[in-house]
Amino acid sequence: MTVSEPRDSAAPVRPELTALLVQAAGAPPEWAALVTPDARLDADLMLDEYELTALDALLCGHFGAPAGLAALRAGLDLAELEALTVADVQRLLPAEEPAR
Amino acid sequence: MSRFLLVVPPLTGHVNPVVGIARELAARGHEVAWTGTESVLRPLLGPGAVVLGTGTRAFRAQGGHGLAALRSLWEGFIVPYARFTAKPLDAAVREFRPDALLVDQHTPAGALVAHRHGLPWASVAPGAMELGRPLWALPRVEAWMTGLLTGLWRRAGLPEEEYTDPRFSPALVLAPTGPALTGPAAFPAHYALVGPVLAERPADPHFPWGRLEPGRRRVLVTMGTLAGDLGADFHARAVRALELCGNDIQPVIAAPAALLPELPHHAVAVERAPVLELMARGALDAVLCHGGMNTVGEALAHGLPLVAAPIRHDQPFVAAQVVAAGAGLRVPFARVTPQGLAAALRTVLDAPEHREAATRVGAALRAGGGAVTAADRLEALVGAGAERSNPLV
Repeated sequence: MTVSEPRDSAAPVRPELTALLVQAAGAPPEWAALVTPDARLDADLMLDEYELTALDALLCGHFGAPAGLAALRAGLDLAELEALTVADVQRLLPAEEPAR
Repeated sequence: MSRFLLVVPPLTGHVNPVVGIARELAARGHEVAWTGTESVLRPLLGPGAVVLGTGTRAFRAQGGHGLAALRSLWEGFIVPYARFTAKPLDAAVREFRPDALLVDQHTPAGALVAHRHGLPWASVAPGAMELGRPLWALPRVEAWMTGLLTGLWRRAGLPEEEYTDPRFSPALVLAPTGPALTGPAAFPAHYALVGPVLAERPADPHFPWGRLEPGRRRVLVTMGTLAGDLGADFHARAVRALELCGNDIQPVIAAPAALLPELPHHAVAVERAPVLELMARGALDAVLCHGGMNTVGEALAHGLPLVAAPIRHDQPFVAAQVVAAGAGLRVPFARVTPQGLAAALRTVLDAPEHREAATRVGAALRAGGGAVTAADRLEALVGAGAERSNPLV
């Protein structure tokens, strides 16, 4: 996928994704209120490369390798990276959590 | 004796380390001249320095965060500054007739003019961003940077088949860091990781030394250029965190007064602090900073553990290096709470392992030789190029 596809930003952010974002950001729990579908990882959530690497590892660990954020970001140019949102990350996730 | 032309951007953090190298070269009898924005360089270098001005023009203030800051740095400063200074730099080379140039990686026009005149040139890395490939995972961003640099190369009228990345001299790259921070990754032989260049700066008679209270441990807060709500918000959290650390901690804060909240009576706040002098006098116990290479190197060289709250550019990478080396902790600049920041500060102040690691890493960085090694390598660069045909010399 690319970030140029039509977005379904109306879908609420899945709680497990919000939890992983809070963890990767090293943020207090109340920061989760900022994690909306349209929130940009760069300008709105202010995640830096170090934190995005941590998020990628958390996503892969929780959802499996296909959820890899790094692979998506590797294909984006600067403007697309700046525009990348939580909804874009959510579209990487499998529909259901894997059985544990 | 040789003539060295130093090409630096009008940014204090870039100029200060090169001052140390320039002094070492001058002490060995070499002639040194600077090029850049004289109105910025002159106050930093003093009346005795030779400055070949490249003119003055306002460029976009460096600010922001993350990718926006990266775009601003390149499109708002590096590229337009290179265009603006191209002709004056060429004139400076013709006037001064250097044997070699030392070129900051953020002033690529210096490398272009050196190449045009067939002069040896060395790069100096202002931080970790251009030392390795921290953005290797974002190949299209790397390609964007390369596109900007090749555009400058073409604009300079240089043959495309001779293209050399102007950030990386093929002969010598000087960097104010060392393997104790960069880790086991091997660099090419022409990379000289010399450690921090600790250029002594004049003692500051205006600093309120008498307010440093015996019996308290002191934390220096220095966040570089911060402005507006973002800066005020962070400093408010930092001041609260230092209060939470307890009365045995005395904050020493370097920031504009407009960014500071009401301070406790024992806090010392100045717009510009004599950082190296504070460190050299043993007046500090820890540093809270943005993770800039200069501040980190200076703190570690004095055995001071750090809490880094990185904001932009290479700072997240440097902060990660500090953590990996065990010499400090990283907190998220935009999100850390006063409680979280206080916990990090107390940890580096109280847990001996961070101080011990800072001492160990600092000693290793100092072993890089700083300005002395840098001058040795620059002399060798001129020596290696002495037999080449140089129409200017």
